[in-house]
Amino acid sequence: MSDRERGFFPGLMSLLSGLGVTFRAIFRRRVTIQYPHEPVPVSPRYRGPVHLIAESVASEHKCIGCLACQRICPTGAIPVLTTRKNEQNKNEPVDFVIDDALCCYCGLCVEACPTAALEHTPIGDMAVYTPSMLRREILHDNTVTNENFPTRKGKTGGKS
Amino acid sequence: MSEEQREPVQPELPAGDEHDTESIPPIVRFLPLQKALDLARANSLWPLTFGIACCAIEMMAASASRYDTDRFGAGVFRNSPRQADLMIVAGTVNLKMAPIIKRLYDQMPSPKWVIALGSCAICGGPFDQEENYAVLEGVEKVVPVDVFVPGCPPRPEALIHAILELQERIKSGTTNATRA
Amino acid sequence: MPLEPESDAPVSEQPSRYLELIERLKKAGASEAAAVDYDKHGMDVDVVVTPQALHDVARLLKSEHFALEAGLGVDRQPELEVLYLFKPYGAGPRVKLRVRTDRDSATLPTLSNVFGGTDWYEREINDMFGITFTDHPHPRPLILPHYTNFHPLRKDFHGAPIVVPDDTVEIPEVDVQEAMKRGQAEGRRDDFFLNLGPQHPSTHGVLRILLHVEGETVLGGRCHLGYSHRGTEKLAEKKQYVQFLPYTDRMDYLSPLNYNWGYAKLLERAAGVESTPRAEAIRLIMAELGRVASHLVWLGTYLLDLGAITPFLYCFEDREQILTFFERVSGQRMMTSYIVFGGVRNDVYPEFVKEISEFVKFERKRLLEYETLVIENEIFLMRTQGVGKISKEQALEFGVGGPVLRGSGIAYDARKDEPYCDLYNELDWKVESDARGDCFARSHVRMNEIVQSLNLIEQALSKLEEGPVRAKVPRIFKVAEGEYYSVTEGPRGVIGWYLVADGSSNPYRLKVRVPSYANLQVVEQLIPGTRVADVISILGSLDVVIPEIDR
Repeated sequence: MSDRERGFFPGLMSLLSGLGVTFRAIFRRRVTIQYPHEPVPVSPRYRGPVHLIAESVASEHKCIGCLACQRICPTGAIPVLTTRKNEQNKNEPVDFVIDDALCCYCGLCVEACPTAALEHTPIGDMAVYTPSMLRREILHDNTVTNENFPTRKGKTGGKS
Repeated sequence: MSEEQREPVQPELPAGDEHDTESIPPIVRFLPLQKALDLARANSLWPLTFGIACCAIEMMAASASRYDTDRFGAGVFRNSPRQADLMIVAGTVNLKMAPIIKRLYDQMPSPKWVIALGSCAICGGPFDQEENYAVLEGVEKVVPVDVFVPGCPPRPEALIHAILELQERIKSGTTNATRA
Repeated sequence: MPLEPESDAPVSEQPSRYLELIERLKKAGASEAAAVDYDKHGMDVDVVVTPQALHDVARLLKSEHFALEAGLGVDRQPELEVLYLFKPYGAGPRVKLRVRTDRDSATLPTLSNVFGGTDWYEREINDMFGITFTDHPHPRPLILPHYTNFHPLRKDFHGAPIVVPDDTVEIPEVDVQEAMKRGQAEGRRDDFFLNLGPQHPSTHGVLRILLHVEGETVLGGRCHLGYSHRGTEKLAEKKQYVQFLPYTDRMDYLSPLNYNWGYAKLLERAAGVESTPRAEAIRLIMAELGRVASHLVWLGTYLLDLGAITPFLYCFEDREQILTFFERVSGQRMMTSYIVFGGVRNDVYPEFVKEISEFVKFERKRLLEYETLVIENEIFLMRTQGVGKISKEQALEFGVGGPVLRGSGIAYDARKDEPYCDLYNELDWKVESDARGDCFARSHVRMNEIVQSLNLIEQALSKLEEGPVRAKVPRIFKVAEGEYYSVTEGPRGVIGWYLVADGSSNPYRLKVRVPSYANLQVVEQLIPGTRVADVISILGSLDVVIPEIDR
């Protein structure tokens, strides 16, 4: 018997068992998520873009300008964080910029914040046309909303 | 979703960019045909199999069962740049790699588009720090990029989102690609 | 705030099990040899040799079946030091061989004629520190571009301008070039170069192998690395210990948890801190899930390389489930940064135990399917059996690790032989090995390892006792002056972390011993005489991750 003939039956069996698996797949549940028509489930712990938690209205936040987040950031994703003394002689931030292009979403800043003023948003899809769009001034616009990400335009995904 | 919301944001290209389509007026412009071609091209993007680092795994995950980029006609990963029209730069570009990316880009037939996937491809990301000697500050320094996807690495749906955005840009004819 | 180092007894007072070895090393020519406290420093014997005695000492270690674990350089200011780490696979001491040279001459004899595996380590040290190794067989840059004129890991280096060169042409390896000329002189007209990569779907990243082929037969080849070199080791010197954590994920993106664990273990060893029992169990479960995920990616992509597309879709479907667990526990799918100094970052969610045990049951069923579908497949057997045999001697000489080592019949696993977590001793599992040494053996070991990992996960779930998940440790800390080493067993082999600390909050030098480095180095030995298609099969069976090698 030649090599070719000897390999025929094992080869055929391999093929048939393979086709068997494929056939059984017809009856299995669907695994594909129909994004963007269907939201992708995102864990509540998901470490998405960082923002300041608004307490009641958008301008109020718990940031005390201690710069702990900026100091611990491994990648320098908080390029601008300037502070000043307010009327009660306490520190408050003036400018607070997070660069999502530099951010590595490690969450060290959120851990380091002594007042728990920072938080992750569970947003994963935010493609943009220029990298400058990724610099977010989070102090005055502290919600990661569609305005911050001009291209998202209410697409599904994100919170679910 | 209303029609004006779909209007993509104009890219802020540097002045005198050689890849700016507006600066090279075509000799004859046949608008309906162009629109039809753009529609066809947008819905059959063939990406180049080109993973450099971490983001490549998420790119593979995007093409696998759960996310399935084939639903948008962008799942036919081509191994040769000659057959591809979309380059997804997935990972850190360093000085040794940059000329190769340029060469691969030049080998791709026009019109062609580039997605910068992940922080490293956008601006060097976590690796472009002080005393950096190897990592390029973004793939934009070598090839013109159409869509930037932040994330480290971006989730697979972020890549799908980027592909959808790119499709819209192609349909409206506002990409950085040089036309054939 | 600095942590107080534990008061350790002087080395001479400690009873050493390795006094005989130290005596033999001294006889062979070592100028200094002393025992080191393993629990504190992760090292057993510290040997200092002069460049002249280097070969004799290395030969002694080779005759005693030591394997090469790593080679690294350290800038001691003003002197430069090269360290070679040796460890016998099995019980035995880890030996650190140190040899010094002064900064200006920076010349040392090569060790690659004794341990072939030092070849790449020495080339890398040449790139990074500018030390010339005399009589080195391939004195060419390995990681940095050939036009580079600086040595980044020297302490007097402070960054270089990032300028993209116009010239992209690299001169092919001289010895390959000569071999081709010889072939042409002998009248073989089919001799030519073939560039496999950097853009090639089956190099799993950006590896470039310059193949010298005659028709379809490969006569030899040289690997070119550095296409995803990111300067992580230089970066580590500029970052605080806590800030370096996210970078440990990005070295080997397929098993970030094992890297997190190794780094956490290193810092815990240096600071004398223990993590909590609950944290240890969570670490084990997560790291083993990571191993399963990594092996699933290997299975999918290896079969993709061999021409089967369907398993890729199946494996990634399973992997997505594991990534969902990762995301729910740590907050990220891939770059978990979860295992940290003193424990883990946060506790698992309430349904964790139930969901994981369901997943284990599901995955067992799927594995049976993969076995019948893939491992018994005729085409798969023909592509893998008898291809790319690694002998035991080669495995020791090159210091390969993980399934590649166990696929050569050496049942060494750091989880068993050098347990870094007590649970690995308590739980019931075994180290898989296969003596055949070919691509099939490696595949076989990996498939069985998934089963063993599932066993471990299942048992560790019952060991999850209530309690804190992180010991009380400061966030920003300093490490006492000294040298520390820690190992963990990653999916690709032993991950070693060598830290030279100077008492500040930044590492003075941090070297990572990456398993893929040694595993890939052996490929240059395996490919001569094979077909081009076999090269793909061999590369895939080694399961290398290129950014891990380049760092």
